[in-house]
Amino acid sequence: MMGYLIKHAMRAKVLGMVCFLTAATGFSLEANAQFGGLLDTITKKDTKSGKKDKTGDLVSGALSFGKTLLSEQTEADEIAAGDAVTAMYLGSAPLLDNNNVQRYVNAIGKRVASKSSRPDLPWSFGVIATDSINAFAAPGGKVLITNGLFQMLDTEDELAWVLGHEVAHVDRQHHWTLIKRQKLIGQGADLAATQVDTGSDLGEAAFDMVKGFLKDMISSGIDRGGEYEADVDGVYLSTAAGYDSTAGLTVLDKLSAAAGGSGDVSFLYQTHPTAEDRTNHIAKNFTEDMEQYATPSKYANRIEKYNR
Amino acid sequence: MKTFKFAAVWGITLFLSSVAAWAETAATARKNTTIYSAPDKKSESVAKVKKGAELSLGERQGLWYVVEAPQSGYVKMTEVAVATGGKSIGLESLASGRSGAGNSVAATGVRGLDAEAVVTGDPDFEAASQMNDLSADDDSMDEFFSDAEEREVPARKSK
Repeated sequence: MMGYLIKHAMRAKVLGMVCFLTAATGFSLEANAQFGGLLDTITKKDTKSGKKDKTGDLVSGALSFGKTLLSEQTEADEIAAGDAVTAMYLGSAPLLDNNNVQRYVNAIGKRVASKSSRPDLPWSFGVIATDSINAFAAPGGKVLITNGLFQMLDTEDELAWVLGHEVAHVDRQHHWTLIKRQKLIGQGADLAATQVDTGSDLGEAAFDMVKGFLKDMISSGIDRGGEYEADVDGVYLSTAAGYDSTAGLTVLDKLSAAAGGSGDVSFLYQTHPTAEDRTNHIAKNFTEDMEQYATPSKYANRIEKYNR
Repeated sequence: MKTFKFAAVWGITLFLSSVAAWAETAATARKNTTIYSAPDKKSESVAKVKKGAELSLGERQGLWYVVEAPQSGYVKMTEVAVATGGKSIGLESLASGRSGAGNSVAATGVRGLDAEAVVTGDPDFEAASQMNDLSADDDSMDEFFSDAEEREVPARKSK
């Protein structure tokens, strides 16, 4: 039983890594070809040796699981993939040890998510203990916001827009679509099916190669169109939830100031357009329908009890 | 008595001027834009400013800011970028790792989070599982939103 659990956890680790990177970066054709090539190289090595190794089994298992995800594409798979992605984030920064804050953020997040087209997902939100300024979404309804960003916000309206932006990623399945579309998983699954029979001699070095390659991919950029889309969706979702329709503009002004000052926005800017471009995009798409809600909500100052 | 009155008037004047100065916010025009005489695009145009022009803003009125300089009037929120706002002024404290009152960056928290750390770290499935338990239940939603009013906002663009 213990062996099964360990194996399952290790499979999830690799899957999580694959999911995270595709979610965070998008997956270019060039990168796909490169990774396919890497897997080809690994497979040739495996075939030559004919030995079996735990790390190889780990990769095979994860990629087989990936094949299941690719073929079935159920909501349960989406949620499972999101759990793996979330585990990767939480492996780097823990949840903030403040239950009042977590409870508050979860209430606001769920309120905003209730206005999405997928209100019945198992939405959960977490503040993570890092000064970096950022927020993340994982497929299936998990959303993380850094304490650095949470501390920077002035109003609950602003928090609602930030969470609305992330909810929009999940609602539109931006990251999940990338994961499903990547040929990597399909190719890998086919290879893995062979390896299960023939065995594998993938050692730690090969596994490190995979990790290193994935690490490099994170800097290759993401689908910025999805970020702009989530920005505007965030306006609609948070406004529908009862908040100030202009909150996204003031949050992005703060991000812009942080980028020009001492705020740690390097990771955020690595994966998002500049705050100025995002603000301009919202401004262009700010309809008259939204103008009537351009006023602070009655909940605007409630955040002060939690972040000051 | 006269001296006292003079001091009182002078003090009040100083106080009001300091409040006015505090209330003003620096901003720049996102694009070539118009300062209007009222918070309404149909009102009279008071001045035109070019993209990047510096403005001094007063209070917010809905989607509009009062403009104090270079010309009194009103400008739409979507057309100006506010240099800093509210707590963003406190970014120094974030960078120094100082936590806000009543809140803490957990002792186990990380100073900065970068992509490499996420990729190279070990996944924490236990913490991911704990997140499920954080999901707001009905009691929590009632506590925070018992007086919420529902809005009819137009649908977003189709998927």
